[in-house]
Amino acid sequence: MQVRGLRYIALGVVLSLGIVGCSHNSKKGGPGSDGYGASTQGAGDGAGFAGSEEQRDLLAKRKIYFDYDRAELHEHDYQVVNAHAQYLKHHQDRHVRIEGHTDERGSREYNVALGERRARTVANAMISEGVNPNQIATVSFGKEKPETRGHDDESHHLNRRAVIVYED
Amino acid sequence: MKNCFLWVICFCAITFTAQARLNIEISQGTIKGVPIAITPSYSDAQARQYFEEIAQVVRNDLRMSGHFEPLYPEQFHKIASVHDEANEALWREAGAENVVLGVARPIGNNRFTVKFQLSDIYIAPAGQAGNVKSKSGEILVSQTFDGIHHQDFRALAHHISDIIYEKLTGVRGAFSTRIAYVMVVPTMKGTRYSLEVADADGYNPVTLVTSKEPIMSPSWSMDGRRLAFVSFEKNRAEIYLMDVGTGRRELLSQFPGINGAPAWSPDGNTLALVLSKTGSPKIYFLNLMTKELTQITDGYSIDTEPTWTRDGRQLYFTSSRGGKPQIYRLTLATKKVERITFAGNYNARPMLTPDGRYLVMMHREEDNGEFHIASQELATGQVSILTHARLDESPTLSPNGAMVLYGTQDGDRNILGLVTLDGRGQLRLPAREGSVQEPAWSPFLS
Repeated sequence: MQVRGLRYIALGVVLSLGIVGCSHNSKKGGPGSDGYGASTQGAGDGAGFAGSEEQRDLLAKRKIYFDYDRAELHEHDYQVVNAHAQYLKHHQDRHVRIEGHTDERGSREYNVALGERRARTVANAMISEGVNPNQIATVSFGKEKPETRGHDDESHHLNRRAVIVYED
Repeated sequence: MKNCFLWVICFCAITFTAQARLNIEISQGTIKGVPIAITPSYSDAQARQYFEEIAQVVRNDLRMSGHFEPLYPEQFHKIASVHDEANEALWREAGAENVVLGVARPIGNNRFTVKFQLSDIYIAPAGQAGNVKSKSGEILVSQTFDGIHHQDFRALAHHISDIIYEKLTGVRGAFSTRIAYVMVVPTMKGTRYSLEVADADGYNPVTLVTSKEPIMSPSWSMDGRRLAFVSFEKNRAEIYLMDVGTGRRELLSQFPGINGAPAWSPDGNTLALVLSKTGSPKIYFLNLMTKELTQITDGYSIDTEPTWTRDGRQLYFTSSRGGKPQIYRLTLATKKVERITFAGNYNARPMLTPDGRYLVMMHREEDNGEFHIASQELATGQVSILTHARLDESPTLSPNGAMVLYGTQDGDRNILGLVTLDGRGQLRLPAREGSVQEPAWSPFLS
């Protein structure tokens, strides 16, 4: 599983090159620090990088979903992870906490381990993009903080996630 | 079951009155327990009412054990005098096989002299082989306790339950023990997590820690005086040690990544725990005296949920090294690792019975999305499924190995279930509000 994850990360690096190219123009934007889900924007700290509208849309996405018992990124999530990576590279004073979560199935501590794998997948993808590891912390809540309390497949899907949280 | 509903009385956060946030409900019983009558004696009219308080607790304990079926007072209404009490035929007619009679005589200053006797009135059917029972009517136990304060009635009742249980089953009773568990209560300000400790029957709950972030994995030290647990209060995983008596706690582990699944060594000197600081979740030992850390397992797989054998020489743990989670055994002296579980495609959260004969774990059958609690006899590999809900988890054993407390679901909330190791006496213990999860049964406390 580890080896396959690395392969995907490498693929992600290749896919992300286009985004890197267009990320130096605007003055506004950047993710807010309110944590989960809300599609907020930063007040703009004047640090130079902010990105295009498309870039801001990607930065507004903070949740990445995973398959059951898996910790690999889906291809369509590389862009999101890389947008955050570029933002962090240009704002070295900002720090993120990447939270790993799982669905309700399985033992609690095993799910902590699984959620940790998800958080690490995202962190490693960012680090391979050149983000300073000191800007990233990972934490796994396992199944302790579900997004939704339902027991169906859709609820399980929504709960299997990594969340990028900007810390102040 | 009347005493199960006392909890409504008091909403105080910390109090030592007889409130209970866990409520006992019988959900099913597969095998009938031994019928036993527990009741105040007519020998002292005033002392009757006081002993009834004790009798209620004892009836509840014995029912909880799954091995007994306490009679309701209506079932022996014909027994209404000291004379009747001595009439074995009347008891037999009521269906009792054992009788406990007691008195609690006030001696002033809210103190009492409590006396009880256990007698056997069962008569084996003629010709039954292997009958080692005493002759009918024999008094098996008779004990007197002097100067008992009224507030200690519950504790004394659990002690009496222990005596009766041991006398009739040959196994030490575990009613004078405690349980730790995690409560999760939704509030206007978000979710409130707390670590609680209560008597084994759910009474006298005390909140040890409250947090807005999750609390996990409480684990008792072998002397029953300390708990290790995981807290996310700083938005990262940390392991704390808490002195249960004083409520003082100490931060023990805060490495980057996972700090989880603490498990005390039998000698109390070492804590096994799971860290992911080098990449994958691995088992480590932390020497509690020197704080020296030693990595115990290695490789890329997930290794977690360590539990010690009684002699401290082996660990059982959950690992993904074979693909799906299964349970493995590590012999510390040789570092040899053997896979232990083969039935089902998911086995995790191992616990061992005190005699080391059985593994109790979370188990999922092939082609079935349900997680049940199962036991595996280590000598034979024989797996028995003990519970039958959809998502049963977090099994913990009573210190005598007879009962398994576990987490299960009831609609959208988590509750505790109780089952005997031989699969009978299903009970449910829901919280008054919110969820209760991750039970941890204490060792014997005396």
